[in-house]
Amino acid sequence: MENKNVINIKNLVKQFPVGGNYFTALQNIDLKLSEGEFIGLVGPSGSGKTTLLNIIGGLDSATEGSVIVLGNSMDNTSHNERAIIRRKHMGFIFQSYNLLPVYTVYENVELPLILNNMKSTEREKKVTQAVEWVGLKDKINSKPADMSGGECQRTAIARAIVHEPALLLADEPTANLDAKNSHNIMKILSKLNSEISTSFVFATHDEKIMGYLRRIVHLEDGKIINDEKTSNPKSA
Amino acid sequence: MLFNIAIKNLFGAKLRTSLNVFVTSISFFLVIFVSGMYDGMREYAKNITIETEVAGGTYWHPEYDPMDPRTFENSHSIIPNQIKKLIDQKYAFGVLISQASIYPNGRIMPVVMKGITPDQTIVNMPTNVLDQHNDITIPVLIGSGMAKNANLKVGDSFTIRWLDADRTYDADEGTIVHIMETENFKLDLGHIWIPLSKAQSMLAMKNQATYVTYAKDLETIKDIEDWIHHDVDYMIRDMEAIIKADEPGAQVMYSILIALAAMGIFNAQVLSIFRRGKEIGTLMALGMTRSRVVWLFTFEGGLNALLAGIITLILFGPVLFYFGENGIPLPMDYSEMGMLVAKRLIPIYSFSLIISTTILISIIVLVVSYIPSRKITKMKPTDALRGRAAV
Repeated sequence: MENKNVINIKNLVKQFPVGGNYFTALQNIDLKLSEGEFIGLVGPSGSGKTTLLNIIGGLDSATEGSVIVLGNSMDNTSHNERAIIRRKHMGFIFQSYNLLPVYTVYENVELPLILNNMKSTEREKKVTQAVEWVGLKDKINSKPADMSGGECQRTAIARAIVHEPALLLADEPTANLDAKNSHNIMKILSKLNSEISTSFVFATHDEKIMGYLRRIVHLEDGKIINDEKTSNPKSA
Repeated sequence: MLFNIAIKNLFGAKLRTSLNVFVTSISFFLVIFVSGMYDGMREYAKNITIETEVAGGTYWHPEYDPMDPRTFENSHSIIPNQIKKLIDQKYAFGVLISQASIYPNGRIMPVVMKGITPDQTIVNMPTNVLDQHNDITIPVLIGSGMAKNANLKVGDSFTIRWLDADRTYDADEGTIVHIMETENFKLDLGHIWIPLSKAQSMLAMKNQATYVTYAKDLETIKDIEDWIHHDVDYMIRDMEAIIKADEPGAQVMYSILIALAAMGIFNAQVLSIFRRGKEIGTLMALGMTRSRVVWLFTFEGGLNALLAGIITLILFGPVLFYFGENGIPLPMDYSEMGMLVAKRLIPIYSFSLIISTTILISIIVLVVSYIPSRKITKMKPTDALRGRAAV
């Protein structure tokens, strides 16, 4: 069975205005991602991996080229349309968790479902399941300020997967975590990838998590310099 | 959906919400309180005139002009029958006015001598004290301002000289029987009050009066011969004109208060929204559209204003009520300056003041919630996520 393309990027160029000139953050990027892949955009700081991730997620737009995500051409969609695509089909994990500080774990995880107008009984079921997946059942009524970095990131993962998105984008998800927590997070994500059909894209330069990735796209100075499948990735 | 999230945001962020709500409710309180005091001050002059002087209205002798003392000599006659009936039924009382001179402590002072029915209860004056001193030749009631100016106290006697109806000067001894505390300087400064019957006898004007004041809520009498009827509106027309002339000033003051309140609310609200730039970015990343984010924050602002209204009612309602009942004592007596300003300033919180203030402050809160959130949502979500929102 042939997997369908989740991401299809052709000749992507991204430039930022700096002073009177333009800084080229990404150039001539061609990238395809199939359903269920577990891929890492890897490279040093400033290589363009976060920019590429943001463009895939519709948080930023390309200067040139074509970006098709989940069958939607991101070049021709409005802000609102991109917001709807993110709401329905994407999940985000950020380096600094970006949890809403006044919400509990339950409320943070529930948020994407509220945005998708899901009924409260169904929401409760899905939130409980997502929180159980990440092993935070006993912290369900805690607020981010009362939790460790690892627990916060697990909450962010639960929030990202609760609506079972087709694509999950994670920007340096382990950068603020110690080795033990980093491995835990990657094990959870790897397990989720094997259990649900969600495709995962990581932007990272964390050596600890490289071993979990099934495909690594190396970026340097805004260009893809290598795209390889790993031979024996770690799993949960 | 927005309602649920807004409620969670509002009650989840206890400190932030408390601060915003408190600042807004302080603004509510100050605008209502200060405007209420100003309205109270303006209304006071009108009310005190009605309570102490005008009651339901007056019937004047046709020659009487209170602004021209030269008319006093001729402005008296027998009270018309229909008006007299009112007096007999205790629904009205007569006042007979004459110019006179008094000689306290060897000095001469021109005064307006007014004879008044001692047992009247229609206006708020302690005239009954004039009826309790049969042993005194001319019992005299004066105000505290007059007492201070003439250096008189209860029990002091002085010579009173007047011109009677036969154009003969006469004189006799008057004795202060009471010094009244009145906030209507028109009853006080330059006035002496004596019993009406005594005044009629002294002036040889038996059964005569200059004007008659009648009780509130009485029908107007038509058959009043050549006397002239003046209702309350006429009697307080000068004050109404002053109040009307002062309206632009009152509006300017109200605008300044609202502007001050707006600045306080703006500071608290804008600061709190711009501090939430990262939260706005996160909501956008999770798929909330820009317009929904703006509406969420504006809605939160609306709930904020609603909470502030409730807090104002709970926290400051008793304070407003207390001052509305008891007033605020003023440090000096303005009546000596010829101003009808109460010794205790009692604020008046009109329905229109409360409603207009509530609406205006709510609009301010909504606007200062809408504008910054709209500005943040116009940023790139990536910048908002990094918390790069700037005022």
